[in-house]
Amino acid sequence: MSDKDDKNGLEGPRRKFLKKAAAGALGVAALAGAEALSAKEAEARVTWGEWFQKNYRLMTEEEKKDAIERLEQRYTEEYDKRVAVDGTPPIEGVLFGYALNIQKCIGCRRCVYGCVKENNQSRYDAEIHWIRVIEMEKGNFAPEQIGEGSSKVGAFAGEAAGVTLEGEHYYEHDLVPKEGHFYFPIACMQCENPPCVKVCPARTTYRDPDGIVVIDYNWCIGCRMCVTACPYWARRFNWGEPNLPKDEMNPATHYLGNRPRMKGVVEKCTFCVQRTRKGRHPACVEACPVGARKFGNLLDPDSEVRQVIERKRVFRLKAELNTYPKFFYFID
Amino acid sequence: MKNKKDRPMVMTMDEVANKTERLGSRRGFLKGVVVSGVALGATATAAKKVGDALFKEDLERRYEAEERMAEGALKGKKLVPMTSEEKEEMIKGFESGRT
Repeated sequence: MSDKDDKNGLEGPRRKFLKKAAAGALGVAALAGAEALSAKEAEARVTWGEWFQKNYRLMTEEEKKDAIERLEQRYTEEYDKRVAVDGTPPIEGVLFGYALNIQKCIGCRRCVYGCVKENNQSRYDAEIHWIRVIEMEKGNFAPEQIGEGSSKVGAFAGEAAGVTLEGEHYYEHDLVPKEGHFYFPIACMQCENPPCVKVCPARTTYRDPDGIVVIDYNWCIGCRMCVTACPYWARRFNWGEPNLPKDEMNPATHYLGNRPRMKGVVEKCTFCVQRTRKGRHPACVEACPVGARKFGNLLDPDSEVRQVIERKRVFRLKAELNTYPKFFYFID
Repeated sequence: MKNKKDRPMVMTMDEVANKTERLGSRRGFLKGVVVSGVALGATATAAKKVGDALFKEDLERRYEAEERMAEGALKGKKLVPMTSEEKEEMIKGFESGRT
């Protein structure tokens, strides 16, 4: 059959039928393909992209934007609500610091649960707490003795008399504070010289210029070197898949902070990076009913935390290790 | 009925032909594929369930062990108050980014 015959509509009926059938099948396949792309394939693309993304620190602005969009898409699908992943960088001229008045703390653990809620920590089944509150007998704590009676010679030089941390980690009372006791909350100290950062073989945990030690969960290989290197034992490892109910998930997240974590990665307090980089206080500061917690910019002489350091009796946990913690304890 | 043990070790030509036909036919092949698929799926599911059950118990133990280690690490440590000089030096260090 010549081309001329075709143009004149003289093509055989069987061939015509087959042509139409093939075109129809192609159309149906295209439609099905488009449908699949919007569901499964989109999900696969998100996961694929996540596996191959760079370390957050090394990403260009464009890559960061893509990574955040991918996560927002995945979390929104996973938690059935619009989840925002923030990537706000550190604010220039800010170095965050924290101060806690141990004379005021009543050990109610509102900070602990406020933190769990805000930071999407695993709950119920395998509970992960970033704040640990230790109950201690007041017998160990005598404010008037602090700084006095120190031995200033020989091997003990510089080791002043102070509070010894011997207490109960798992107290459960109907009423707090228990008579004759005081409470000592411990979380990440956001050290200026963090041992956890030094040991990370994947360089996934690092200190940001605002002093917050952050973790890029996507690059964490779960080796737990940082967990053991931290002298404050402030890091938590997800031994299993975290249990975060959909209706309890906080959708306002930060890439380096409270976004949902996965099994096999390490997490810790970030001074609520998703809040503090936007000028808000950490959740634990807001939750404290007695105002024992103070937070602010250490580089601002008028900030509350700086005023506390200058005017109150301040001490740091394990200062002898030269980790330069930015979490201070004080007494009036 | 003949016992498996009583059967001769050598297959007759007819038996070989039957088996070849069974395996060579499309139906026989598909049957094999389906049976293998189901067996594989069932084994994987069973292995996952057993693994999950075992690991869950282990998980609790691991979280608890970590807590105990934390407790130990924080025991017996002293809180030493900062002197005014130390405070000053620290603030200077923060301001200059020296720490």
